[in-house]
Amino acid sequence: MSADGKKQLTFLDPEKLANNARVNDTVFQFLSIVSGVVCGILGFTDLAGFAFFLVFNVFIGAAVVAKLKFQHVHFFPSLDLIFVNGASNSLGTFVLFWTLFYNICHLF
Amino acid sequence: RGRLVCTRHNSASMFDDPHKLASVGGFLLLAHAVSLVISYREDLKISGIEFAGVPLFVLAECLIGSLCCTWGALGFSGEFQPIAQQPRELPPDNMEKMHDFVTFNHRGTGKTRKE
Repeated sequence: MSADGKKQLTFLDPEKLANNARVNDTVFQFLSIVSGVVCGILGFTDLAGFAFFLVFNVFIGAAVVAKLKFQHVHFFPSLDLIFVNGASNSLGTFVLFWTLFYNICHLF
Repeated sequence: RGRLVCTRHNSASMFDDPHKLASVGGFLLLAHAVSLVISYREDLKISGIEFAGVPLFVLAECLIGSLCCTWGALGFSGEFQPIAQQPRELPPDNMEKMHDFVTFNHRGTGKTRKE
């Protein structure tokens, strides 16, 4: 909104939007491996494991926002593009490494 | 005449990038934590004690390894770029000079046609 109350159009660069989404996805995918390994080491099962996944993803999103110097509006149209997209794309990777390392540490 | 100096802007190997080194170090810490938990579980089996939780030093290793991997991932994954589109100068309008598309057979010829 401008000073006189009228809406203003903001033109976004689609290439930079795609680049930021790709970088965010890379960070979440890599750290979902780490979170799965840590969750398996700590021996979490059932809902405790998924709660750990949510907590860790909040930490990852906060780290990304901190890297953006808390000015995410200049890099992402909305905050949920950081948290929700990143977490939803990395859930499968987390479950894979969680089950693998739980089996290695606590079953075999 | 000046010399041609060739410089490497991108790190050619993993060891030149501190972020990648930090990630590898974090994974090594986590691997060491895995070995510690396995040996801890074996000791519990021998002594007959039920597993209640991992020791504190394993928790500390997991935390430090996670932080190293986080810092490394934020570094080597790439840079975020501002999404606001920068104003750019448009090419000059030279349609008037494109004689190939000029046509004289249009509706306006009916007005000027003499009867």
